[in-house]
Amino acid sequence: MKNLRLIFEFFGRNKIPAIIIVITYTVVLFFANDSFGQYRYAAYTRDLMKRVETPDSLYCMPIVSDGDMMSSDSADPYGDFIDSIEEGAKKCKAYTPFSRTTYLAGMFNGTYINCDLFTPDMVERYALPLSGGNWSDMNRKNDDGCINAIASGAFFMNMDVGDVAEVELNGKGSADERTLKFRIVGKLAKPYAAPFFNAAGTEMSSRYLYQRLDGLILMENDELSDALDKCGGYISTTANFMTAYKSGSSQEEKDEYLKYFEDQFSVFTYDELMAESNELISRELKRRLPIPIFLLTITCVALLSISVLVINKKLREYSIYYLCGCSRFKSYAIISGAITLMSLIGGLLNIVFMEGYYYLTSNGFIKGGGETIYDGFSVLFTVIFALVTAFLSIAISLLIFRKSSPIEIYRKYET
Amino acid sequence: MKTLELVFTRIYYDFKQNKSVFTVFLIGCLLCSLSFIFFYGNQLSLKIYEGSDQEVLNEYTINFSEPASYEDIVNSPLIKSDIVLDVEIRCSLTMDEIPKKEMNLSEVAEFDDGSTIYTMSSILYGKDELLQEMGRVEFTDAERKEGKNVVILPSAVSEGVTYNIKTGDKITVSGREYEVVGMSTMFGNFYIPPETFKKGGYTVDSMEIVTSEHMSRSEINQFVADIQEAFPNGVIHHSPLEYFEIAEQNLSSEGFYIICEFIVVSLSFMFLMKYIIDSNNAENIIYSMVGATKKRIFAVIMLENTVIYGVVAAVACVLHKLLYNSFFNQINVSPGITYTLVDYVMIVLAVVVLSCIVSLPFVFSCLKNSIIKNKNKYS
Amino acid sequence: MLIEAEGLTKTYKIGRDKFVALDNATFNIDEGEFVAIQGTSGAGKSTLLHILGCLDTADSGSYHLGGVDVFKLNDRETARLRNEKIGFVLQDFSLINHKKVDFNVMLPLYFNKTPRREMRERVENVLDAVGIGSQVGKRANQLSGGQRQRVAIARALVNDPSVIFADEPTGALDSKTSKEVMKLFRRLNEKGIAIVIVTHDNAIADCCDRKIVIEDGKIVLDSGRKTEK
Repeated sequence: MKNLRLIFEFFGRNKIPAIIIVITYTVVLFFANDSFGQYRYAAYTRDLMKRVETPDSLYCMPIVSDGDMMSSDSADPYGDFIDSIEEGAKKCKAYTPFSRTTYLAGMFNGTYINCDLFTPDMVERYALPLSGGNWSDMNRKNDDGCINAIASGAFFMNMDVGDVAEVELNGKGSADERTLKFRIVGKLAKPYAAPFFNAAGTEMSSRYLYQRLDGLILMENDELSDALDKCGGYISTTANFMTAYKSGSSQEEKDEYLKYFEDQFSVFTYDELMAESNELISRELKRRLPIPIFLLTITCVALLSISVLVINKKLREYSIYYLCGCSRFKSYAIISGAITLMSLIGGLLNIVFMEGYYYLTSNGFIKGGGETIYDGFSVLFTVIFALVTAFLSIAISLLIFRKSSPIEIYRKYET
Repeated sequence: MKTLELVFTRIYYDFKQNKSVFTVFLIGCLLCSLSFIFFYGNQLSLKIYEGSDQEVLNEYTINFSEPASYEDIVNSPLIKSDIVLDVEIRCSLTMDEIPKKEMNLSEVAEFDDGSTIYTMSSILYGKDELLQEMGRVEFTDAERKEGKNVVILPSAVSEGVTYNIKTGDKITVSGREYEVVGMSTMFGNFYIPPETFKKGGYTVDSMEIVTSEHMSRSEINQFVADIQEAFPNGVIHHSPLEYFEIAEQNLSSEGFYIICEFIVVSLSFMFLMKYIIDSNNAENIIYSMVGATKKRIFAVIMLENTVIYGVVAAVACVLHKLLYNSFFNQINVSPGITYTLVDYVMIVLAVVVLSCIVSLPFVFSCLKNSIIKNKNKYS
Repeated sequence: MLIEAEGLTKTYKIGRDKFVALDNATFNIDEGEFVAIQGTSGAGKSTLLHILGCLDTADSGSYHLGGVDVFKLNDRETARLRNEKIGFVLQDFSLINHKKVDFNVMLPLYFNKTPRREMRERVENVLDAVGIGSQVGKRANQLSGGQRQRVAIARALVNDPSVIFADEPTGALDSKTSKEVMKLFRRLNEKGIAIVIVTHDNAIADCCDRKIVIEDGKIVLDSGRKTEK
């Protein structure tokens, strides 16, 4: 308590500049983490695409042909349309089954969630990074009738692998019929990105192929189909899909396959997606990173400057402390503690915010598209930056402090 | 001269008395000046446009008061010059010429002269690329050479709730039958090969010229004059000059934001400035005692500030210039930003003026009291 | 013996020249003595006081305070000595001017193990002892010179020191206030605290029981302890 008082006394009449510095430090650090996070997200999705797709992949966007897609009366017009496209594609020699993203909405603990449906092939191929559990447990049999699921997002933060989540799905049946039990066999790692083929445009990149999922990932199998039939769940398919050239196809067969799609709508090949993704990352790098780095440098110098300033102003006071029996070591400790406090506050506030970011955005408390990564690395960067700035400020301040002995300072002020 | 000598002595004394604080203060001023230089180049639209390679800054749209012929355009020396990358010629379509049924368009807006937003267009050299929505958006060499009746549809087609046109289908546009080869993202433009445009006897109601390289403002002015000379019936509907004019209009608001950003950045170092001003107060009291007026003392303090910030800003400009290619150019948000001597002079002046404004509150706070009050406060 | 100083020598470098501030000073001071160290300006009095007060070290010689060899102690140990055994009263009062009286007096208690709840009580006691209890809530720069010096004395007393070192304690005060301060020192001395006052003023030195006179860094006179007061 006494030492804490002495640490606060360090700021003395410089409380307002110190507060300004702490606020600036916090805001700049947050801005830097956000910029780095967005850049990392772009790189993350590019690397994810590299891992799960092949150079033969094609991203097809029938959404531009919205008119025809909507002509079906069924509950899943996009799904029906893609089925019809697939029927035609099967005639091509280079055909491989389409990967489409299907989902159904539900309610968990009073909050709306999405449940993505993966085919067994997608489960095996994507194998998205998990923070707990493993994908192979999706095939495990449960005696209690629970359906295996991978949990994703902030709503399941407090659930562990092995827990059971009750979700009321949207569907035709009664509430009881629609409420299914899901056993969590794994938890998706941050940034909770799962494939979602809804985006279309002229500059498609990997960033638009994945979307933050606040919900569950389910595997399509007999057990799930039965359960969904019983509850009459409303399954929807996103407008676009992925396919690939069959392995070993000749160039003519590939051209034929590509033409079949291009005649009807826009298509992006893997190379085009990758080029666009790399371009985006390079653009992100250039656009987003310089200003935060520059501001971090300024903040570091600002922290250093207030430390130096306060030291200079406090020299006489510290000579009086010396008279009263405060050792030099204790003086250093007080100064170091005070300077560290400034960077610590900024760092801690950032860490708290980053830890709560996904929860806050999922619940709509703050706006955020989720296209940013806040994870252990972000926390580590924040801690390192806080320590480095504190260390620099302490080192230079102590150098100044050590320059004159207390008696020299006392003599200077005495005369 | 004597005042200047006094100022330099004070600055030297400031440095000697508080080497560490003064050094950190100078570093802070340098960073603030560099940040001002960065914001100046990257946030003033005028500077961005001067170096930008955005396509819109290479595009000129010309409307003809009287339709021009295909030959007039193609044979124009200006169009044939190296500076022109490509030209898109357009003929406005009337209501009757559009395949409304196939496009399933229930309403088509019609202008007073009977034209619509839809045009029959052609890209002369095939260098200006279209973006694909369906099929292909480039004509083959054969189609171009032979003037085949093939068409790339406008994206307006896909805006309809349902539509019935696919690649390979035939549609009739302005009384002619065309085979659909694809659809572009351009909303209202049907594209056909140049030879087809010529054979179809279409006249040119408007055209869009795309230049091959980015031009400076004066070069743009010259090019606009050349266009007007080459096509006396043409009215420049759009040119890159518009962006520069808008940028000029936005100069004051953008400048204001840059000033605010400078003040925010310098906020972190303002208390250092305050400390240095305060540390001179004992000296200021003595000046008053020996007969200096408050106005004189104020002038000395502001001159001291001006000299420090002026020198630091100048050093920042030199540093920026020397390291521009190796470092600062790499961190520019927009490409092609250049800084002239005039820019650097303006930056130095702006930094000096802003720093004087920022220091005013601190200076006034120590000058407002009487000599005795200040003596008691600061001694 | 409280203070045992033997052969204390201190030299300062001024540019290329050397200045001998203290030359082979040897003396002892017992518990409860009231000593004046007298000399003209630049004689070496303050240098001697700084060494005795563990603020500075001598270039040669030895110094024992309460049986402890001071020159063999590290920084932490000397700080502890200053905190527990020594009180300082200086000419410029050495108070933190913008802080209140209670904080100034409490300051030494922050650097030892005195519990927080005990600190206020001790402060009030010493302030009453020096006759300035009513000023506790005021800032140091709101007090007169005499009041500030009393606050400085209170701070010197708060840790029950063995000795108080006072460097020109009346230098900034008028004669009436000076007498009051000296009376206070006398009262404290009667309670058993050794008082060592550095002064150039004969009148102040005459108030003490013993005089040590320094000239050009050398002790030229040591009147010894008065056996009768």
